[in-house]
Amino acid sequence: MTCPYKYANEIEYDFSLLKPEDYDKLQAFSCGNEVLDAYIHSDVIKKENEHVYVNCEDGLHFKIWDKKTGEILGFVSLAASAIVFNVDTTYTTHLSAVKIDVFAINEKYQKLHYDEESATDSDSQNHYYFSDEVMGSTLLHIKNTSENNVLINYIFLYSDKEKVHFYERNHFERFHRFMVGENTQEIRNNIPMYIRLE
Amino acid sequence: MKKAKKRYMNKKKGDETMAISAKPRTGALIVDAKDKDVFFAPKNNTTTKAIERFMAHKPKDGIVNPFKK
Repeated sequence: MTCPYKYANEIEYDFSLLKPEDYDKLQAFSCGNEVLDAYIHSDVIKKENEHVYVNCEDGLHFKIWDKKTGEILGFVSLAASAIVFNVDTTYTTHLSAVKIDVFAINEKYQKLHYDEESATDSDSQNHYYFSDEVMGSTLLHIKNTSENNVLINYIFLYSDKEKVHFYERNHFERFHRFMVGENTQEIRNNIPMYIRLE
Repeated sequence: MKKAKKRYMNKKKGDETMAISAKPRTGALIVDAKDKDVFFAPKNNTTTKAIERFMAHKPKDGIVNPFKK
């Protein structure tokens, strides 16, 4: 099945918490990355006998969904966290941050330009895709949380090497040399990136 | 004087105090502090810029966006 829209500005979407009843729709979601798809299909909404629940061990899960069709267009997982910052060799501090643990866009919508202006612009730096739109919604969601609920100074994530340009276009930058990234098997080959909340 | 210590010694002859303050760890801290000031200074790579870009792209007429009211 292909994307039913010509441009992303035609999509009436919403950004809301994932619920156990989204199980079937989540199974139909694919971002094209096998490992991430397997995680999203198997570990996010758990079915144990009659009990169905959203597994929030790693973060709070959000769906970006089409209000006309109900289709899940994007999947974002957020967690309260901190960036380790080495002040000097003996003193370390933590910068309050939200970690974007998962940022996944439905494969069919990844290359969907937002409007004709973006599609016809010869300079790729001016391109604006549906994925940029979802990132903008995510940043605004976190900014609202920071202004109304709990202070957050930074947002960070571990980018796939091939997606660094996408995050740079959205004003993320690679970790400063005093920032310490995690070193786990899952993200060993990823690039830690951050953006300051203002 | 051992080679390692000599390396970090200030070049100014006869100024023992400066030589002491330029020991490896202290020296590194001085350099790092400058970098950290730059890090915490206001910058352009913030969510403000990213959200401005987001807001500049308007949905098609009749399409409601929860964040672009």
